[in-house]
Amino acid sequence: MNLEKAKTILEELFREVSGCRFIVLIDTKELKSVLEFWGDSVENQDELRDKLIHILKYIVLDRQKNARNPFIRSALQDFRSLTFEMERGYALFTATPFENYVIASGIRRDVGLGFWRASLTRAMEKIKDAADKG
Amino acid sequence: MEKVLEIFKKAKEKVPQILGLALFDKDGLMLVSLMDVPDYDEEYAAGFHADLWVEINRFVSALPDDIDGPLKSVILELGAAYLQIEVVGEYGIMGAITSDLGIGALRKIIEEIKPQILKAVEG
Repeated sequence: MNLEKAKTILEELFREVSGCRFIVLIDTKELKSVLEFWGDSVENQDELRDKLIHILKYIVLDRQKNARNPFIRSALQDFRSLTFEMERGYALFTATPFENYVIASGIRRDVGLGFWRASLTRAMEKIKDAADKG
Repeated sequence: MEKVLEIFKKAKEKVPQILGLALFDKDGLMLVSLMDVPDYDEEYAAGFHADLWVEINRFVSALPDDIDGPLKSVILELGAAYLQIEVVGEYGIMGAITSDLGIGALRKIIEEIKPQILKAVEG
């Protein structure tokens, strides 16, 4: 992944959607964030970043390797997304076309989950195109 | 809880693509489950779900005020299956289906059985 290109594209998306509260690109191999965009309403960025990485590791990554049930272990290899629906918004973890990268994002409910998912998909396609063109 | 299991069995008869249905209490402990997963390890899964519930609640509490509020549901989308945990008052209803039916179908199944389950557990 070209991180400079990804930064430009994700920053543009973050600025365009006023109800977007954060976007964090996570390197799942190193278990660290490589790009972050935070809205003004996020006061506890460090705590939230740690929790985002922890929940992704706990629910998906650890079980991809260690789930005792081979059926579940195998199903988790093909992780697409994990969505938390709250009363006022959504927090999402979305797989990217790049191995070892997942996008975590948070949006207010008025943005609409379908719209946001489609916007993320389009952003990912742009990042992939940029990577393919070198 | 036998009534809940009956509701799960009827739902599974109606929609064979259901991989599992389960009912949790507010601490994430599994009260009833119906699973159609090869070599499903109920004891392990029960422990995992209880831990998961704690982790999820810790995670949600760290989110910004303008996107949090009570948790309504958690949806896991995999290539071959969808899993949803819907929070219903003091309980959590978990459903899993094969992905050929789509996430909308899973939401519909849970919506359909939710009032029946609430009636069964509260009655």
